Amino acid sequence: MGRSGALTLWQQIMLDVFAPPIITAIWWLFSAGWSGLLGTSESDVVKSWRRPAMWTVLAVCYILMFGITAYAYFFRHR
Amino acid sequence: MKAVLGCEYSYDVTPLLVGGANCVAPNNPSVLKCASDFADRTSIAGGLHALGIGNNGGVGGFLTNALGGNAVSGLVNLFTGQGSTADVAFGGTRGGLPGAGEGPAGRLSNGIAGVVQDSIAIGANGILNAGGEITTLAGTATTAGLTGAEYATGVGWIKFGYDAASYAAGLAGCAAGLIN
Repeated sequence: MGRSGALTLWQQIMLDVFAPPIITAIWWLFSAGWSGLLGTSESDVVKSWRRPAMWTVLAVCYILMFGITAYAYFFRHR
Repeated sequence: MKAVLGCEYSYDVTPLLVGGANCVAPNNPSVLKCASDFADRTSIAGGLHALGIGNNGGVGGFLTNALGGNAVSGLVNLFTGQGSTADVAFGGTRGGLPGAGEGPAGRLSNGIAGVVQDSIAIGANGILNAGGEITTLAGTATTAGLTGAEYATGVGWIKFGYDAASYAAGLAGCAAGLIN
């Protein structure tokens, strides 16, 4: 359990819970803007990508953040 | 909150959590800034800069930053007040978000980076639609079944996904004290 970070474990967990949806929302904005820019917003192919891509980004963010937290708090100083 | 946000912490966590401002070392960067710095270092532009590409400023440096910089950190910096006047000029009032729309107001809000991205996207769209295939590091890749615009959309989404993932990793690493 020994580590000296910026946040307590409780704060870090809160950050890990709430940050990925916000980051994914930002990704959603960027992706929507990008597809709008390219004129593919109404494309069936692009529409079929949107949800899987969003869940993938969200999952990757959660895995990364909780993985890093677990490493920092439970494995780093073993 | 003092017991939670004590003076021993390395970063100013006030952007994330209310309170504890007096117990934070004044010269230490915030978690958000630390995460942005990490995301910028690990961005495509950061990698190119590490290879010596775009380090001399000018058009090369401009294009490297416009196309390869971390979009998420740029947007977060803008909203947390860490973005400079140059960042605003570069990212526009939309913080680099693409798709600002037509007309002078739309172009202005898109910023310099957005205008460059527009041009690249339009150019890539034309090339892919005309040729139907592109040459990658692994060889020639066909885009059969996809229009050029759809292919470019996927590439852009992957880039934004990488930006999001690297920012998330930086945020967790900075908060945990693994990244400085």
